Amino acid sequence: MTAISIRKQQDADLVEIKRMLIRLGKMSENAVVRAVWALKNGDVEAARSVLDGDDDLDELTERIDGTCMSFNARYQPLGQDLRMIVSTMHMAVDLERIGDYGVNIAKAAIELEKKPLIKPLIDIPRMSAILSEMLGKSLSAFDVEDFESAKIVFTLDDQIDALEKQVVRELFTMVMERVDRLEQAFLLMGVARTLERAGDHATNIAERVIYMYTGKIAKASDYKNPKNDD
Amino acid sequence: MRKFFDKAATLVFWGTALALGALLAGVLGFVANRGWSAISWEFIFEPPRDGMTAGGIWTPFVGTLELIVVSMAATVPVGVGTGLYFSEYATDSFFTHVLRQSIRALAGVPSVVFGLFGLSLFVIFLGFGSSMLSASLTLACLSLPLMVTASEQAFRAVPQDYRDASYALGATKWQTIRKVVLPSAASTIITGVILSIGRVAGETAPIIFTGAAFYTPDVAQSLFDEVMALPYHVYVLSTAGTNIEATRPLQYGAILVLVGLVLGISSIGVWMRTRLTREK
Amino acid sequence: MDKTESDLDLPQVRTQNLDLYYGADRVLRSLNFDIPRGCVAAFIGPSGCGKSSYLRCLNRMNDFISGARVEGRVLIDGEDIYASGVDVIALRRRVGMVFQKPNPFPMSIYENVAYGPRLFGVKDRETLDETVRSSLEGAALWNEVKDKLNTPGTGLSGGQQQRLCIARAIATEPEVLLMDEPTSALDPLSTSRIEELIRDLKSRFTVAIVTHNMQQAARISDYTAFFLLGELVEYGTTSQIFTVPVDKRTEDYITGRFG
Repeated sequence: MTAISIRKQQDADLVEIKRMLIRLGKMSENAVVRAVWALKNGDVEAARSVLDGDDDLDELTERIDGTCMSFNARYQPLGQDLRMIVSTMHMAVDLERIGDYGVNIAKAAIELEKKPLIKPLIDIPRMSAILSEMLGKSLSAFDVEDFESAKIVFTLDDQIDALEKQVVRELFTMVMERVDRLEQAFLLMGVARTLERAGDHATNIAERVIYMYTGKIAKASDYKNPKNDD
Repeated sequence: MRKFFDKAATLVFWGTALALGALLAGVLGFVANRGWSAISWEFIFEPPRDGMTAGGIWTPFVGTLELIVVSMAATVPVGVGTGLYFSEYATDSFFTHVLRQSIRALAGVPSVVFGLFGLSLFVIFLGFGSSMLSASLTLACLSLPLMVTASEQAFRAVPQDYRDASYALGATKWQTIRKVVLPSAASTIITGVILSIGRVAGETAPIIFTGAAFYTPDVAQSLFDEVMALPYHVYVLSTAGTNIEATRPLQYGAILVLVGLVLGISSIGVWMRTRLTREK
Repeated sequence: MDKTESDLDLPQVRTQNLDLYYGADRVLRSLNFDIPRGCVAAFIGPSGCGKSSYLRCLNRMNDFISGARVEGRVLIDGEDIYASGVDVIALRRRVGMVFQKPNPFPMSIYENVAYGPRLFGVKDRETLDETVRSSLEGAALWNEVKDKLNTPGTGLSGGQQQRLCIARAIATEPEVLLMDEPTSALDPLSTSRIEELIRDLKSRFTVAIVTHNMQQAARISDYTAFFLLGELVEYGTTSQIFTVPVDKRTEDYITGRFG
């Protein structure tokens, strides 16, 4: 009897932790997407709002941490509960980092301010869209225990990596043509690099989700298309 | 309302306890009051004289002690052994069930029947004659059911944990019984012995036919001598004496000594029991 | 008995197709697993799942239950303890046991510990003194009781009594130590003392412990077995069982979804 009612509270606490992590996911996804949008459209206001939102993001990350700690202290979770709590703590760190990347991109957007872009941004927004899909897939996999959709994230990461290489290559040729583009090209390369890293963190999250629900340690490389590796 | 019943119950049980205490005090007071005048060293250490109208109670006093010792020597080993059998060895079978029921039934048999049984078995059939031995063995039979039941309960009260621990250490059954079960049950068994002694010391009917003497001048020297006993002595003085009225103080004095003897033996038992318990 | 190298490499307790019946009830169902030497193996599972019954198979304490019958084999150091002609008394010297409730005998502390050695005929006072001291030291109780060895063992606190029982069990120098929920009657501090002790003991004995406390199993054991309705559902290293159990029933049990 007591075992059942204890489990009830425990399940409610787990649901609360899950809800917080998904909210954190949405916040960091927003940060990146909005920053890239600000960059593309030269909207400094939007970029500033990303900077302002970072405190909330950090605060939520800390709250998730604290809640997980007290869950451990309270229930000493084992099995799937244990995997869920430990994974959640890791995923929160990954998401917070993605949020930070959003801040970095927003800073780049502010720096560029209203300077004309050396080229219309096509691939960078595309990277951000893929990242957004990766995060969406990872978090919905986390939410509904559907680790099949988490595996899709791994192939998406390949696409982001490919795009990053393409952007870098393109910017490099543009700098070769005209050296005064160097500063802006550097900035944009940095953005592309940042998005690629964010993709790695999203991949981490997908790996965590698979471990959490299956107990098997998943490596993205097991699912990636081998010919994209170099 | 519930409180009222609670109070009432408390009162009722206090009342019964008090009534019992008062009864005991009354009996003791009555006996002491009537018998005290007769008590003296001479009364205890001199044999009866002048057709038992004068002198002391030395012969029946020693006789009662002898009967207690010999009957206990017979009943304790057999009783404890049987109790041990029932609690440690007997399985739940029809045979043990019948055996146990018979022993219970035996406890309810009137003591005079034991007397007649002792007469035919020990005095006549086994040829012990009317003797201390026959009387003691008859008394032993009488107290045996009590002894068996008491020791069986005592053994059963020993926690199974002790036995398990002993077996788990590689003890055999007999080692376990000897080193753990018997010592743990000892204090309860002593209580059984005390109760048996009380019963044996006060019985008259079983010994009339088997070995109690109306009068012997000397203390019994061997198991085959007849023996005087305090309860029978009182019975004789008060029903068949040469001068019943004149010997009233003697009768009450003898009863007082008998009561004192039983209480004395009991307190020795209680003392032994507390010492045993304290050692644990 | 001489032990060769290969004997020492073998698991100390091997259970092979073990069935236990109480009358017509099949209490244990075809158990198969090994406990390696010098390890702590914990048995978890809901009440009445057979874990205590299994423990009592290892020192044949089930022999006392009328109608109990065993099929299959239990090998301790390669020797089948259910083979005909096995000396059960000798077996119980090799396989010590500590019970759920601390149950020191109503004797002095000294006599409690000396009980086992005395059974085997040790009479020499010096040998006994030495055994009592080393056993009490082994049970981490010596310092607390060395000045009152002749006082009753039942006068100690619950936790001390249980350590006295452990000292009593190791005084016969067993190879395997069985513990049937040894801390379930103790307060948390005494419990952690005993747990600490168990971790120390495994360097000298193979320990098999039944516990209802999963955290305890997680803390002290190297291997964990999950029993359910007389079956061994899952057996593996403790970290595997408590982090990534393979069987759904194990998962449900350790996360408290039933029990």
